[in-house]
Amino acid sequence: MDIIPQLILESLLLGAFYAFMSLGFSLTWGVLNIINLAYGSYILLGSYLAYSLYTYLGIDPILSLPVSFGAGFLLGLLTQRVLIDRVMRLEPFMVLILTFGLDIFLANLLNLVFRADVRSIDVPYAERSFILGPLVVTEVKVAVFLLSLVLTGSVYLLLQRTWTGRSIRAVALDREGAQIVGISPTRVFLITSGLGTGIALSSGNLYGVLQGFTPFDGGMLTVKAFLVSIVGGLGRVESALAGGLFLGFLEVFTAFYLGEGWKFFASLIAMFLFLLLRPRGLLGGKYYGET
Amino acid sequence: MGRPERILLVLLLVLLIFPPLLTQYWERVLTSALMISSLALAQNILLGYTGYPAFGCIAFFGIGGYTTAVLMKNYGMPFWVSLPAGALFAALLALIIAPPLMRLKSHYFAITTLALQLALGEFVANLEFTGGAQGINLPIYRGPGGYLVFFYMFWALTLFSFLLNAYIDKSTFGYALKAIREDEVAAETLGVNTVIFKSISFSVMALITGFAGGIYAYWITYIDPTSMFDPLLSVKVFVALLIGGLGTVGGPLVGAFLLEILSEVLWGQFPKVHGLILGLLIVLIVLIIPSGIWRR
Repeated sequence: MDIIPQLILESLLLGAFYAFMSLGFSLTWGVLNIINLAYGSYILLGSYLAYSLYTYLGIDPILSLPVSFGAGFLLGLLTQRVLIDRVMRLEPFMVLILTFGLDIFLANLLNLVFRADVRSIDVPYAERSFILGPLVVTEVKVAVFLLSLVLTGSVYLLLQRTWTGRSIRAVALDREGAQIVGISPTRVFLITSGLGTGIALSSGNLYGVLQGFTPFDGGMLTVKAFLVSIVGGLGRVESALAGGLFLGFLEVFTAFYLGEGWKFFASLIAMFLFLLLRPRGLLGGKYYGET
Repeated sequence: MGRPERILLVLLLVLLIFPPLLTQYWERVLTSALMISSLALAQNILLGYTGYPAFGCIAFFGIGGYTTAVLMKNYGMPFWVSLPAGALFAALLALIIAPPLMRLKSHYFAITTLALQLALGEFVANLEFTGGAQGINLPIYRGPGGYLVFFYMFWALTLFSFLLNAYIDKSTFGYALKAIREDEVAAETLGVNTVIFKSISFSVMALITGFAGGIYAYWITYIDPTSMFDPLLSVKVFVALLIGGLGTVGGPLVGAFLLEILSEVLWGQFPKVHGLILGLLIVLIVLIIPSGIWRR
């Protein structure tokens, strides 16, 4: 039996999830021009939140998506107000160091509370699958795929159709220009940070359903979000989709043909080459953070 | 060199007579403080004077360390040959990738070097002759002086880097680097060949960092990809630099010692939550003293 169609299916399913997962990273980078190295730990916060809600209260991780989003939104507001806002005026690499410190802090906090064991959210439908022609389809992956598409679509609508979304895009395109027409960048930064962190935590729910996690997986997740953001270009939903699919295909095919061990290396080399050769992404950049 | 720098130099020289009086614990703390010092002074040449933050500087630490280890273990070369070979290899690689890499600036440059560091770590973990994820066991040093030898090696590397920083601070070469830091286009217009100067600055950083990696590998005797390409070490170097002050001769040295001794004291007090405290410390340092304690 030919394996290629199965690999393509897996890549597509995974790619949509990566697109949604990275949307928050891409958005905060595009709008605020900051690279948040704690992003992966934010995702894990969501996974552990969903894990706790499921284990202790029996709430399904898909039903707790709004809880994660809400918690993430508040966390985003808080970190923006208390930390990021104060260093945004300084050299951009200061934000890197700050968020790296935050990442170490969060990973160790999770480690203190949950220990370093691999956890997974064992929903009853985790193992179910069905056969579709030559393909084996895992139900939970399809569920995550569909949810990712719906959520990504809602972020798209939010950015395109609401005044909040328009003001976010305005600030991303031209900070001074937005200020002239009466938009407060500080407020937009706050909302974007909340939105981005909310996306991170809620994608954590889905991540926890897809696979096991430990407190120290944050760095790897940040790299993934980074690669997805850089492939397409920053801050736009369609770019995140392109980047997500790219990463999905890259991971599935590398793991199959070269072995699981080369998967992360492939992402890193792709990230390195993209930064070196096409730092504005395949679709071209137009946002403030990219100029 | 101004007066504060000269005082610091004297203190550094005084440090040389200390070791025989120290307990093993403090010998280890001071050795690692000297290692961070040399790394921070190396990074200072690049970030402090040239304005390029190589967040993934530990890539060259890993290259230096692994080259040294592989030459010793697989080819039976003596340490005194393997060490410079590793450092030169790191510097050479840096020289080759510098021109395309240094077209990027600021956090793009920072993240690209970090990606390189992590990628190299993964690469080494997947190779056969580097011992894969299991790493390499080096022979244990049994020569004269015992482990104090590593203290003296890091001391010598720190002294060299310190004098190099002092030289760069006042030389024409240094002025060219500073011109690039302040305004690269203007520097180019004034006839500074920015590509050459940037690349040299990058390679010098890689050379010192490679030396540190080689000495570290022999000191610690067991190396693996996680410890040799550790992003935590990168961030420590940057935090040491930040505490001290960027683009100053004395700052990196003071910052490295403060950070090492501070974290050592904290580790001893709260072994269970040292990661938490380190994270918090980094956040606080960036918020409170972003420009460092050593005046430029």
